[in-house]
Amino acid sequence: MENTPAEMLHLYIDGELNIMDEQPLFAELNINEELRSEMRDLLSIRRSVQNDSEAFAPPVESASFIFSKVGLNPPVSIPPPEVLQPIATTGTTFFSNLFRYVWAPILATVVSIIGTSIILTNYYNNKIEQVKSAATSKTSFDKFTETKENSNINKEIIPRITENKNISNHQPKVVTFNRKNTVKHIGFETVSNDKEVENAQESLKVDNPIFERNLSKTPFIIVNKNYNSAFNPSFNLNQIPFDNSLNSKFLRNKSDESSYSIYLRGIYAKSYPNTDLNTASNPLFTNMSLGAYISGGRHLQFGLEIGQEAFSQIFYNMENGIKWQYKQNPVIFWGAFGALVRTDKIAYLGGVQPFGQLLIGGNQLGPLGKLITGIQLNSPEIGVGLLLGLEGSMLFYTNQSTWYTSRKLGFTFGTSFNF
Amino acid sequence: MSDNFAEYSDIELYYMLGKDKETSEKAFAQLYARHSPRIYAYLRRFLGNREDIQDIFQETFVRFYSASLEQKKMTNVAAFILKIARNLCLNIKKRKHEIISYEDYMSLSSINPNDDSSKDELLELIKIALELIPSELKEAFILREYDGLTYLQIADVTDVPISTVKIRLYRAKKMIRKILIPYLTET
Repeated sequence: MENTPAEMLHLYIDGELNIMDEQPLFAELNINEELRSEMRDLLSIRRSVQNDSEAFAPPVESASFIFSKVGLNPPVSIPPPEVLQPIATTGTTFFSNLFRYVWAPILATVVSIIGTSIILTNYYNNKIEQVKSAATSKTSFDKFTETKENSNINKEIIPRITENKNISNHQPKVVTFNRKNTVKHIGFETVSNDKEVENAQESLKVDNPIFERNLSKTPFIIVNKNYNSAFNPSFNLNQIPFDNSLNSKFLRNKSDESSYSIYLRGIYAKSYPNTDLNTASNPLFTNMSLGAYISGGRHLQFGLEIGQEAFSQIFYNMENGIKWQYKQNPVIFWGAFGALVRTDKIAYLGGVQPFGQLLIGGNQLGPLGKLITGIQLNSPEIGVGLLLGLEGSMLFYTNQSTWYTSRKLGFTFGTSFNF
Repeated sequence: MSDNFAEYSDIELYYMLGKDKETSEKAFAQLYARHSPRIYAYLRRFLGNREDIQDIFQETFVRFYSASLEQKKMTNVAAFILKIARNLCLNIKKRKHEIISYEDYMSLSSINPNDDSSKDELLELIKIALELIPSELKEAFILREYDGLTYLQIADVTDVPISTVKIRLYRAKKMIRKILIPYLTET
């Protein structure tokens, strides 16, 4: 039976019209104003019905009645649809969810920190002697003096910086003794224990002092206020070699090998997927992070970082048999463990230091990872530096047993304070 | 067998009914969680705010479980439950010879078509208009517009040919439009 134009219109709106009937319908719509009016009315009715968001929840007691009637035990709770809560405001929820999602990254980070620290500690113990420089501490001079007093060491052999007035005329004797294939200088340096004093005494008995062969190393002068004014370093500085492996702390550049660093960073990044939604809240210090790091070596730092920034989210939720799409852009507080690696300064680029940083942590929604790369420019004099770089983030979260990701890519910029 | 019954399809859960008690409980609980909101919404829209809707709703699922023990051949669980609910609704309507209340009719007549009707008001008008059309037309309209069923699915639920479904829907929309045409021109 052939359909009338009105019937074809109804079928077309319901998606049930044969494709062969579409052209005749469109042709009729083109000339029939009444048919067009009917189409507008039908679409208005449909839109109104689709906007009917009234939900009808079954009575709670009905479930118990039904199950009892059929001879089954009522369930403890009929599983309701899980709705993602983007903002957790209670502290207990934050920590319990944080532990549940980040225990694996935390464990991996702790193990790697411990392992790296052990490796680095053993490495530097083999390189650095346990002798403190005399120039750093008056206490060490006192100890040296006490040691000398106790051990009856000939004062003329081992120069005493504060009391020996013959220093200015005294030719420096570079005494070397080897331990573990490294060289340690003693002469104007203090020894820290009696054993080393004895060793020094033995060494000084050598007729010809043994000069360090690596004369190409940068020489240094130990400058200390405790030096007697009569001390006149008239000797050839080049004959006092310097070995970079003898790395005493007071010689380190403040920012090159700082023990502690504080980072304050701003973040400007775009989320993927992008919802084009404004954040519902705009707390203070949004899109910023604060980190505290300790040195794990010359180029390595480990620490903790916290921050607050917005993450766009798109996810689906089944409610009453209907699949709903949720879009939101919440501001989320996060915490993470970080590892930062820097190279040496690049002189021809103004002394900038490229760096790479990895953060692994999480927030109340799920695990979070960040990868940052950029450049730092540090001022050794004042211990402050600037940084600029690229940052990529990935947040994992779940809703109704389905995992989703929110990714961000953008720029980071900030300041470092080095101690 | 997985412990997470949410992973099973409706057909798989249906076939678990009637097995050991624990399995039946979990399977029936999962089916109830999936379909109870939709069935209840259908009953509310079809019967309105009646006092015995809860009774009909409970009876629907009791009959569904009983039928699952006897009828093992199943293709569409959702449609099957909906059929049971529909038949119970029709029985109720036949027994009580439902009529539109005078107040509903007067409320529809008293609405001024020149008022600035919002979308919510249009929706309320549609709901009132549904009460003024025959129940089989109303049912077809609810299944198509609210539940989103195709003509074939509606035919399966209502146990009528597709051609009948087409005619019912056509007439339902025609009648609703005719009732609301003074208000539709203002929106």
